[in-house]
Amino acid sequence: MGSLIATCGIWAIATAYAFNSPLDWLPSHLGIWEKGKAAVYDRGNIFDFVDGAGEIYLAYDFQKVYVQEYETGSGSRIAVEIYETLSPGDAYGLLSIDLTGEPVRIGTIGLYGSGLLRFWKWRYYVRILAERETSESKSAIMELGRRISDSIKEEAPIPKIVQIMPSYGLVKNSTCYFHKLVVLNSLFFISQKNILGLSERTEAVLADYRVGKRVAKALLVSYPNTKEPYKAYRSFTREILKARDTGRRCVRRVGPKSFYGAGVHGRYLFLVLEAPTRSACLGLLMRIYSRVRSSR
Amino acid sequence: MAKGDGRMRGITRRDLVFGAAYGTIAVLTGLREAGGSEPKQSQESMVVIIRDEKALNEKKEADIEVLRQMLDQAIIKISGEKKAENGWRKLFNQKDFVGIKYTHCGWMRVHTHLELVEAVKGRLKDIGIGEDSIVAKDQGLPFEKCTALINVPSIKAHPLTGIAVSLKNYINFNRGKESTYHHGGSANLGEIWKMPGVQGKTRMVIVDALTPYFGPGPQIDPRYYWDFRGIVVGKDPVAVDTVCLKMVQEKRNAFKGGSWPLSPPPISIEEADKKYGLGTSDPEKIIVIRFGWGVPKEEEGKPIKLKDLKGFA
Repeated sequence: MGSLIATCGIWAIATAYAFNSPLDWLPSHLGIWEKGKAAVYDRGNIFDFVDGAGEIYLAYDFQKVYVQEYETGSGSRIAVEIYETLSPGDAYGLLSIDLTGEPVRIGTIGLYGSGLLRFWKWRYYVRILAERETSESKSAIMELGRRISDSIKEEAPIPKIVQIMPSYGLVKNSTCYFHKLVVLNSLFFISQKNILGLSERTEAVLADYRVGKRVAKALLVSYPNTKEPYKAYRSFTREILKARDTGRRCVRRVGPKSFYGAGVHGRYLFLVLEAPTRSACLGLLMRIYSRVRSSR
Repeated sequence: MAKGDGRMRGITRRDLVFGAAYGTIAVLTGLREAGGSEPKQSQESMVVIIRDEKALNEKKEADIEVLRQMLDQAIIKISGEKKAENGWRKLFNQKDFVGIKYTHCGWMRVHTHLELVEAVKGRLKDIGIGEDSIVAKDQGLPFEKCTALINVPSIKAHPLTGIAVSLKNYINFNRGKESTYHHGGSANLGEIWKMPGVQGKTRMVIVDALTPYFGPGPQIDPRYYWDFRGIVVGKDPVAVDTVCLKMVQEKRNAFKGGSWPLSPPPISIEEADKKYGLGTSDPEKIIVIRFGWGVPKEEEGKPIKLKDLKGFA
């Protein structure tokens, strides 16, 4: 494998950045690892770094990513990526795209696996990746992670909408927080058209629920007003459920063994997708409704 | 819906579950059960999968000599010749100016192994094509100048197109318009293959399946590298991508212990067949021949329809 970030475009010397840059949190060396190349990318040039899929970062309020490479004399590499967002929720959202992994006590939520440490703390989502996992690289990754985490003095709770989701039946580590269609479709495709009216003004959470031997998906979306969720509800019931005049809750069969449901209440739209039976679909829909109602 | 108008109309999950279009993709990703598929029009295509445990060493570095042997075995099957050299000669001649388009994907870090690119170059030189008549690149390949192209992509699940293999590998031939081929626009990836300077030049697709990436994006997570140690070879890019789709989908399901459909649905594959006529995506018409590591002895070298093939993962 070539340089982890050598092809990603614009390079700069870490020390050239202003004080208080997250790159300043990083040590010049750590054991056998010495600081190498560094770079900063923002919303304007994120594609130079994340070629081909920068849209996922732009779908959150991502501002900058600070990239620092470490290397040893023998050519082993570690890449540190510190993603800075405007809101803590969106940094959490970037981590929540995949919450699986071995939990570690770094950041507010930290996860490790196969040479990659990912953690979230306040407005930062951090990835530290070893080119090859060894006991030495893992120790260095953990130490770098701890130093970055210690440098971030503030913390924030996970977004409120995530906590609204009912806990009964929830599959552990399956909850993803996001705003826009591009993220939803990368997780669970509903439509190429934005029939749910997702935007930077909406908050959404998608989660898996154990329903008997199957897993159903539940989607909860919060809108800035009470009109938009109803409009989205009507679009969804019309386009996906092929139902009309459905009141405020609706369950239909979509596929041979699959039931989809939709409900709307206040600023919230909630959907259940791929439930094995009508009653399971309605049951989960009502549990979400109950949580939404009590959260107001 | 006029086929191929995905970007215009906007397909829905319901279309995939119930609709007439995208039947192959819907079945392969598990959104629809097999049966009641669309009328068959395309010809049969052969796809060869060669695996070798020694293709990667303990440090997961590729062994070029093993890759050469894997390539030879594949080319013999694809060409129908008894000797690999004759197979290469059947597909290329000494006057060709050959472009090898590989994948150098910085962000995902699921590159085509350069050892595989070197192995391909070596075999072209062996049949008398000069060093100065072979260009291997990701960005900036002078495809207009080439008389023949070899598509050498990696395999990865992709958060904006579902999957990225050979069809998507030409995305940067349409420079400056790459992002128009994401989301619904991925339906039109096949149009790149019809561009002047590209059309009709691809003689071979050689997929680096040494370590396919089957996990979520946008950035890679090493837990989702699949230690497959193989190459997937064919002349039909649509058939090759369809096979790779089935491989990755099976691996995702096995990893998760249940259905984990690629998302968004990789509609580019079926559009490349139905709209652009680049090959077949029909699992009934794709004949897979497998050799090597992990292949059951009774199935080794045996032509099997993709629709009947299970157990990649």
